[in-house]
Amino acid sequence: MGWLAKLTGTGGTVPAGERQLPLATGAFWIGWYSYREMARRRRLVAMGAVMLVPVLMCLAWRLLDRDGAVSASLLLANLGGIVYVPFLTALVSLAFGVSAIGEEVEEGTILYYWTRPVGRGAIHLGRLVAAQTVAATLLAGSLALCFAVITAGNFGALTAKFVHAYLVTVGVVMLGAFVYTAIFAAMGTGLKRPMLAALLFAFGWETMTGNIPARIQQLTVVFHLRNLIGNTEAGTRSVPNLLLELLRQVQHEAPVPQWRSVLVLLATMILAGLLGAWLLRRKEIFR
Amino acid sequence: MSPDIARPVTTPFPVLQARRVSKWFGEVIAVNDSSLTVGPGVTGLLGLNGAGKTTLFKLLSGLIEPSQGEVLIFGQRLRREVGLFRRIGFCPESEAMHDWLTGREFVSLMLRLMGVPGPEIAPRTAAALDRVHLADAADRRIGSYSKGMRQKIKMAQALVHDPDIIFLDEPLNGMDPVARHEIIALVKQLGAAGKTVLVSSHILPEIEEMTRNIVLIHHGKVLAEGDVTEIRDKIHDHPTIVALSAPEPRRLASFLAGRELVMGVELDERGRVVARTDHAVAFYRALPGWLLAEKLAVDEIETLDDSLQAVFDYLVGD
Repeated sequence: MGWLAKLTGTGGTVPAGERQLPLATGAFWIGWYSYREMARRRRLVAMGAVMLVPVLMCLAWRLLDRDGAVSASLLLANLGGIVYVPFLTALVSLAFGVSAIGEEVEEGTILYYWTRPVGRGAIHLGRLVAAQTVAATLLAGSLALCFAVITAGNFGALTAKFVHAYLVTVGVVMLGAFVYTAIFAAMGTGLKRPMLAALLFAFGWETMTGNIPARIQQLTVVFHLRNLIGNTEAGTRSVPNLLLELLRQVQHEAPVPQWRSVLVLLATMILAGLLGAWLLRRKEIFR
Repeated sequence: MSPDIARPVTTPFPVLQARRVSKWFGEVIAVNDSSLTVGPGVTGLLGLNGAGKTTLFKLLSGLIEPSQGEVLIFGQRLRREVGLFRRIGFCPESEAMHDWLTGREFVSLMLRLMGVPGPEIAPRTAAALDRVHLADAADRRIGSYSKGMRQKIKMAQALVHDPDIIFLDEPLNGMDPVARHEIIALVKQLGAAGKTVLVSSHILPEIEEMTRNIVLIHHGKVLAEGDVTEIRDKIHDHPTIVALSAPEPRRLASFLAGRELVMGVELDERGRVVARTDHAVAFYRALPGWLLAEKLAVDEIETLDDSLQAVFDYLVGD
């Protein structure tokens, strides 16, 4: 039975009564119910509380920066480059990504998906997309609140450039959530203690290697996210811009084009997703 | 019923087959070179704790991969052809479920994942819940269910798509006597309807109420397979003991003592003739002819050690 026939559920010569569900159908229903489940968990409330921290930072800026030393653009650039990327995006993605499959296996509930004519890829895809959606929604919601706090009664900040920078930041942070969640979901599927590995990756490899002014930075997700988030209005007073400028001076070469960073991030997400599906296919259910 | 789900139970292949299956975990051999064939009807899978029963059950239901050998369902490997799960229902022992869903939502989701068209979901879900007598609690969250209700909802999701093969792992766990009776009747109904039902249990009386067809596993090997009486008949170390109540016990005893199939005869404290035979099936076949020829009457015949417990004890030992 060809892989395409399995993917589409058309089955080739296999009788209808023995065909697996099309990938999209299986992934949709598992994803829908998984999203509803993840939106109910206490984890969501905890992460929601963490997402309020940058909002409080914006509030503090509004209250304390009376003389305008820090512009709205600079605040947004540093929030995006230091707080959201790499910290909050990785944290939220870790919280939902590692448990996307891992928790179902640990609790034994994956057995009910396992004993259905649903491809293992569809199970992984459904759970992954649900986790990505929840993570990205939390981050986008947090950024929306930050935008509201920065601009409420402060219409001078509402320039076209600022709005553009905000929308780019939201897009990059959400892309980051999708990429990180895919990586952590693969870890959750394949490793016995995925949380430790995920923490080491997110706050060890990404943080340390992502700040070294050398080409090795390009092996991190955070580098490519920062590369996309570059906010020219903030200049080198923005930490991300400062880091990129430092790298340029050390390497004496042109910066990595943004299109290349988009491709690298998308490829990473897709490869992590495929790896996770492959690992799930090999899994054995003992509970 | 959707044509995708319903199909007649006819196949050129055995329904469920294990061919020289082994499973090891590191140095521990859980199942050792075991072969068996399961067909339509109810089959009990028996074994002590640690005998390999659970591992064999998981191998047969496609949850784990054999280290060696193969498990075939309708001639195909289940782990490769997940589409076969359309024809399989699985009721696990574990109580883990999506507690936040109502019973109805859970069964509906399971039916959706079988590819059943939308309009059929609600009526078939309702029918499955009725079948396990859980309709009244269908709209409560599973997290609020008792142990017995959780067991029933597991049965409902296993049966809702009218599978040809049903795996039941300790199906009567936590059930009250009324619910036990209902589920046993349901299992027997399924077997009588030509479904292939494999029941795993360590509680022999429960299996005995459902079926006389067993697979007995011990130390990772299939020790015996088939009808309990036929298995019993092959256990020559322990002759079958038959008690006969008759109006002329001494004459009956004297007659039986001379028969080739009878190893020994005595009278018990209730005045019954107790005969020991090494070939129970042949003995029962010959007995009516003997009684007619000798004009002997017998009021009641009872096999004292044809029970599953006795067979289990003789084969496995204490």
